[in-house]
Amino acid sequence: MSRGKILVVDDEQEIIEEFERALKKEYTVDTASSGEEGWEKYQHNYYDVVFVDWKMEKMDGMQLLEKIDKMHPFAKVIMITAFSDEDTAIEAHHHHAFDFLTKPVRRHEILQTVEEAMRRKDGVIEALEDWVMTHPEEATRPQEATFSMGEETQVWSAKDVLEEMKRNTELGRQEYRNLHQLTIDLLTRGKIKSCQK
Amino acid sequence: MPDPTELSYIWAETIKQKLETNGWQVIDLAADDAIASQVELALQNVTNEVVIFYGHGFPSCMISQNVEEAIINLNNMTILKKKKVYVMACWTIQKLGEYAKNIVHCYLGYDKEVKVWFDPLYSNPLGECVNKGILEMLNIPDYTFEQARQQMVAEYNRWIDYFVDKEEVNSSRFAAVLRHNRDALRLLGNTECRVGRCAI
Repeated sequence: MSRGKILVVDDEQEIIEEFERALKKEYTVDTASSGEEGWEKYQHNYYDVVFVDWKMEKMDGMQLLEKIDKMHPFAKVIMITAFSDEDTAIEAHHHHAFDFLTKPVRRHEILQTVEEAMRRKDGVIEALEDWVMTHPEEATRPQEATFSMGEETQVWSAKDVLEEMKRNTELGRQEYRNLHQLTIDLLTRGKIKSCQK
Repeated sequence: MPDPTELSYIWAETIKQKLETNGWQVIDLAADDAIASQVELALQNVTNEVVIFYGHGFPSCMISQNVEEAIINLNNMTILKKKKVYVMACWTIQKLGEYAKNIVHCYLGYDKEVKVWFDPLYSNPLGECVNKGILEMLNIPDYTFEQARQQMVAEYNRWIDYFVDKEEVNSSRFAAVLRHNRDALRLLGNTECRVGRCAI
């Protein structure tokens, strides 16, 4: 059984294959060979961890990181870079990267970093996953709707909502945002507004 | 497939009963009677002062459930002239409320989707939140719409705290739903106007 879903974005096929070899035994691995392709995939899927090559043509890794950070502030994005200097580390941290790995990346470093990221999995997703698994009957019951009319009235169960979050749909993003904002309200007694748009 | 208006009928019925208990005359245009021609006829009568709509909505219109037509939209919104409007529907304040705010006395509604859960454990508290404003104004005729809006926000907050305190995932999810609805609530027009004591 897969322990999670990982996206690897790199324009070097060798690097992609290296990550796939290291991760595929335990994780579901999706790949993209450009920043644009990576962003396209990210918008329609939920990933527990994303590896992004810093230097790519057109949309580089930092631009992709910024886009992901705006959509999911707690996303676990790990930058892959040829440089290991302090400035690189600070810049990655500044844009909320979870970590960065320096090329050549070793297998045990990949696994160790993923393990660490998985340990700090997005709390909203993790809590919902646990609840859906432990409350199968309640989680599949149609429960939620809105006072709007589409072609047909849509009613979602908790399991549907979790799937929408994982597929990164408009509904999923809204539900995630609502839970995230509630969490921030509770932590700050409503004094700090969420950074999410 | 459950329909959320099954719940809003119940909530609206509570308001209707309260209005009648307080001596108001209520024109109830529900189900098959909720059509544009009937609504226009009722609102052209100048003595009708308060319009309460619970149902489906889009940014530019209120939608009837049974015939799925716009009963009040940007084309016939002049029927809202000098009315006090209280709406529980998705989005209507975005356009309909914005366009109508200069002709109505006031317009209380939502600028996002209004979310609902069907289990009575959750739908009953939500009904209390959406009804709170109008019921408070009927209990205390000196209350302004702005005070009513504040009472609704307070009611949403009370229930958000209640569900959060349960420390359970589904309850927290519902607290987030309440928070979403609370933050979508808007009041336009003369915020100091009152429902008053007079009858519809």
